[in-house]
Amino acid sequence: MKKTLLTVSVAAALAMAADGSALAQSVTLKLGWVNIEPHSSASAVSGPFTPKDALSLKVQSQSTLFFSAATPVNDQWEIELALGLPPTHDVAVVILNPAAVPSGVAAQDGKIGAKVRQVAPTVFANYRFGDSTSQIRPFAGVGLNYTIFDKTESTPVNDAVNGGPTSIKLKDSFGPALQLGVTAKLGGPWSVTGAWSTALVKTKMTTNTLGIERTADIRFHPTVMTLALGYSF
Amino acid sequence: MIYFKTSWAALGAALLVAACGGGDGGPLGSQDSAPARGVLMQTPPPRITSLSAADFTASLQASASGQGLLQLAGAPACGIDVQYIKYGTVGGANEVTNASGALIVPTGSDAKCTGARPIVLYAHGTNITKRYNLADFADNTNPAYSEAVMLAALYAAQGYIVVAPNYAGYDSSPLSYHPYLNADQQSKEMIDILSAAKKALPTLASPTTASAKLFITGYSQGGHVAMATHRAMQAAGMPVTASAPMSGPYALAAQSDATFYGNVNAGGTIFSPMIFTSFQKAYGNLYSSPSDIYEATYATGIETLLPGLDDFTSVITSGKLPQLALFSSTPPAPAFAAITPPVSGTPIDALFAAGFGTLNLIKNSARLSYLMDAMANPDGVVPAFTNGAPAANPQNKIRLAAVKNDLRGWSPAAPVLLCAGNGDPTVFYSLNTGLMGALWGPQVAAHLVTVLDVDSAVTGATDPFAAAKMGFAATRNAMAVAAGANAAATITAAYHGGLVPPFCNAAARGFFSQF
Repeated sequence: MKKTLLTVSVAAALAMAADGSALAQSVTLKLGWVNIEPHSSASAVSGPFTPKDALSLKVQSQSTLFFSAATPVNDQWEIELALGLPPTHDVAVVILNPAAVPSGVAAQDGKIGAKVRQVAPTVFANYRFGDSTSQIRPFAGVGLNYTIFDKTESTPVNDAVNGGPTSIKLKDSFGPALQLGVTAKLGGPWSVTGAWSTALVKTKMTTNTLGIERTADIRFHPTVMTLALGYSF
Repeated sequence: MIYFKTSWAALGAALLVAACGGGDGGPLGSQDSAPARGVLMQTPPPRITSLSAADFTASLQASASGQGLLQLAGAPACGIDVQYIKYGTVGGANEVTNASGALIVPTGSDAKCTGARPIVLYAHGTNITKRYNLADFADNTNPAYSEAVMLAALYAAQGYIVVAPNYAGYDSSPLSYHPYLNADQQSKEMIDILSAAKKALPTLASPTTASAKLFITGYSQGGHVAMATHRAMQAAGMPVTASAPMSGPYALAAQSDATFYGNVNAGGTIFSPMIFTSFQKAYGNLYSSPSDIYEATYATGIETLLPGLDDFTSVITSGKLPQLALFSSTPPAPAFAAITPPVSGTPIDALFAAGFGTLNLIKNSARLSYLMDAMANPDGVVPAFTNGAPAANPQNKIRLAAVKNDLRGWSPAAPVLLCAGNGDPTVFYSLNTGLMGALWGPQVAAHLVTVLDVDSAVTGATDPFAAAKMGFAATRNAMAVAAGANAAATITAAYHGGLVPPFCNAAARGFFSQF
C-alpha cells in the first residue's frame, strides 16, 4: 500500500516537474533598486543608569541594490527569493524627555547614533494574475522574512549619550511578509517589475557601554518599494 | 541553468563574506571579573552623566532642595562627570569580594577645575536599601541620590575629585551582607576604592589628574568609616592631608553599652541588626542562630534583611522590624528595673522609654548576658567615666566585637575636624565626638584637632564656623515654628539625618579648603 502511494506521489511529482519544465521560462532573475522605509517604532531605552522614558531611537530609510530569483510552480504561482545588497541604516537618537537628561545629551536629538546593517532574505509565494501571454501581470505574494542585523556600529554621538564606547546587538527576526506588484514584459527575456512589500520585523536591541547593558524593543513596519529589471531563462 | 546555479552560489559566498566582515561597536576597554583589592573591574569605567557647570546649576535651581544646596555649596564653578566604578575588595572576614561606587570629577575650564585636583574620599551614612548607588544620577528615586548630588555640588563642582564607595554588600556587590561599622573592612574598602579610582582617572572621558592632597570625610556610619580610614592610612604610612569625620559612633563600645543600659537611640532597631549581622559574619561567634539574640517574631531572615529591598519606612510598616522597641519593657532581671527604661527626669527620658515595649527586637536573655558582662568588665565611659578607654577584658561576644571596632586609642598626625550636634538623639555627642575631643586634648590644644558642635553659639567675630552654626540654628528654628506643637518630636526626628549633615558638610569643606 505504502509502495503504491509512493509510486503515485513520485509520478505526480514527475508530472509536475514535467509540467514545470514545459514552461518556457523557468527562472527569472531580477536586479534593481529598492528603497526601505523602516517605519520603526522603538520602546524607550531601559536599563541601569538610564532615565525612565527619556531616550529612544529611530531607524532611518535606506536604498540599496535589489536582486531576486523567481521560479514558477505553475502558470499562476511562483516562488521568489528576494534579497538585496545588505543595506546599512542610520539610526537616529530620539530624546523623548529633554528635561530628564543633561542638555549635552538633549542636544543629540535626531543625530545619528548608530549604523545597523541588515540582511533580510524573504521567500514569497506570488500569485500572478493573467497568464503567460499577458503583457502585464499584477501579482500578490505572501512570504516569510528572516532579518539578521549582522553589522552594527555606535557613533561618537551614541558613545557620548551612553557614557563610553558602546557595542550594539540586535536579535534576529522571523516573521510574515507581503508584497503587491506588477510585471510588464519588455520583449524577449526582459521584463520590468515594480512592487510594494512589507514584513513584520521585531527585534530587541541590546547595547553594552563599558559593562552597562541597556535594551529597547524595536518593531518595523517597513514600506519597501522595488523597481527591478528581470531576465528570464 | 547550471551557469545560474554557480553564480548564485558565488553570490551567496559573497554575502557570507560581507556578513562576517561585521564587528561590534568598538573597544569596550578591559574587564577583570575577579579583581584583586584596589583593581578596577572595568577600565575605563562608564560615565553615567556629564553636566556643565551651567547644566548643574540649572538642575539644582529646579528644586527646593537643590536651591538650598546651591546656597550651602555656592554656585558650581566646574561641570561634573560622574563615573560608576567597580573594584576588588574584601568582606568582613577578609573574604574576596567586589563592590561599587562613584567617581565624580570636576570638568570645565575654570582654574578651579583644571590641573591636578585634590581628592575627597567620602563614606556615606547608614542606609538599608541594597540598591543604594551614589553613581546613579539617572534615577532620582535611588536612595543615594540626594547624598550623591550633595557631594557633587559641595565638592566636585568646586574642583575636588570625589571618590565614594557604595560599600560591600550594596548595589552590584556579591557580598550577602554589609560589614557595617567593621573598622578593618571598611577602612580597607576605602583604601581599595581610592586605589581603583586613581587608576581610573587617566582613562576617563575627561582625563583627570589627582594632586597629592587627600581629604577623608563621611557622616554617621561614614564618620566612623572616615576616622577608621584615617587611622588605617596613617598606620600604613599613606599620606592623609586632613580628615573630617562627622557625627560618627567612634566610641562604638561605649555607644553600644549605653544602648544596653537603656539609652536606646533613635533608629536603634535598625542599627542593632546591621551591627550584629556584620560582627557575626566577621567573627562567627555572636550566636549560633539569630534566634539566640532576636525575638522569634523577627529572627527569621534577619541576616539578609539589611541591606535588602526595604527602605527605612517599609521595613517598619511591613512588620519586619519594630519601630522603636529594641528591648522588652519587662526587666531582664529585677536588678535592672531602673534601666528598663532609665529615668533621669530630663526630656531625653521620652526617647529612651520609646525603646522599650512588648513587641521588642532583642531578647531579654541577650540583654541580660550583655549587662552582666558590662557590669563585670565596664567600659571606661559607661556607665560612669573612669579611664575613658574601652573595657579591657570583655567576655560577652557582642561587647568583644564592639571593642574591636571602637576607635578610641589612636591619635591623628594630620589635622582633623570632628563635627556633630550636641543634641543628636541617634549618635550621642558626648559619648562619641565629645569623648574623642577629650581624649585628644593635647591635639585639640595644638590645633591639630578641631571639635565643632554646630548646635552651639557663635563664639565671636573670629569664629571660623559661625556660618555653619547660624545656618543650623536658623534651620532648626524654622523647623520648630513650622511644626508648632510637634516641634520637639519633629526636631528629634530630623536632627541626625537632616538638620546636622548640611552644616557639618559645609564646615568640612571650609576646613579642607585651608590646605
